Amino acid sequence: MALSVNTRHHRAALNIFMAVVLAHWAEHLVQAVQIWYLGWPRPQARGVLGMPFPWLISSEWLHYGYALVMLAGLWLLRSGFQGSARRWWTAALAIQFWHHLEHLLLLVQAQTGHFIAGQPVPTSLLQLVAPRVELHVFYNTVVFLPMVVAVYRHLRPTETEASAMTCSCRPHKFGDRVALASGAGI
Amino acid sequence: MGARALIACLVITLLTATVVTTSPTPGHEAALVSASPADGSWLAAVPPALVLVFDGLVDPDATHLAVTRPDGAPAASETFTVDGRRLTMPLPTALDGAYSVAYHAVFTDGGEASGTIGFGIRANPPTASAHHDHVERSAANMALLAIDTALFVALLAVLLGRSRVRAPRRFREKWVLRDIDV
Repeated sequence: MALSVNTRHHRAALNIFMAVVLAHWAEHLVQAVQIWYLGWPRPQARGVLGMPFPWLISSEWLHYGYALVMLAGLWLLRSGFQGSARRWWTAALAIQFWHHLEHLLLLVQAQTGHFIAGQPVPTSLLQLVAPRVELHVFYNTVVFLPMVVAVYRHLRPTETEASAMTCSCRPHKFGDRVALASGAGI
Repeated sequence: MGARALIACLVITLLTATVVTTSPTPGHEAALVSASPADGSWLAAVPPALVLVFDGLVDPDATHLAVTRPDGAPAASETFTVDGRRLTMPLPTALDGAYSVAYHAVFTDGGEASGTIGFGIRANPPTASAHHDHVERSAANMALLAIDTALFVALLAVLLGRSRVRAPRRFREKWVLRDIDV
């Protein structure tokens, strides 16, 4: 199947995906500012979206949905990456796959009301050995780090990597191979 | 609209939303401020009462509260008392395991808040927190958020810049030349 998101629309698709990722991090950073700098009580410190929609902050559906969007984006845009950038992107995809399974486990528990290991709230596997707060930020960080490296290496490729690129992220000096590639249905 | 302009628009929109939503406003939506036992906590014994504190005046006639025991049965009758912002329900049962608390609070100004919290009773409660928060003041969390802030800025810089060929690292050339000299 021809996926133009990995050829002539790769840069646009990547920008949209990265905007979602940045918005998610902005939520966490804003919540940190609300708690530590503004001194808001914890229940009121709900980030940006949590202010008009307070139910979002504790919704397992939201967390699972975001994990799913991340997994889909990482998988969908992977073919557009070349060389070392693809290796870093694949690393992020692999970690996110496990992260997504953890959120699926949380969602199932929240929906059924049955919690693993006799816990009083939905609990992920690694949460049995590490607190959820640190674990959630850790998971997102270890996915975010290889993703940022991949995007950097993709948008600042070496000469060799750039010559192999067939997407719209390719530096202009390498000509318009993108149009040919998209026409070929890569 | 170019890619960089699109990203710039998204960033400006996000920053504007941040400023608007982090500005203290009068009459903000009421919510649960604290709970005792705390959400996700483990206790060695059942406390005499469940206490929920909201940041709005609770209307007792329109508010609902249900506590479920580990065996799935209601932990107590659904009778509770309201004192302004504080809601109290006696907890007479002493069964070990996980308790679930579902609340739907209606406030005198017409606002509502609903949600579910949980706590557990165990003779030797574990120390690890199962709290459903995402930001907490701990050294590990602050270090992770500092790394993420740096990555956030770096990613923005990469996305806003024009795609270009990366120059080879200087030390590589240097070592290659040195090898040739040898």
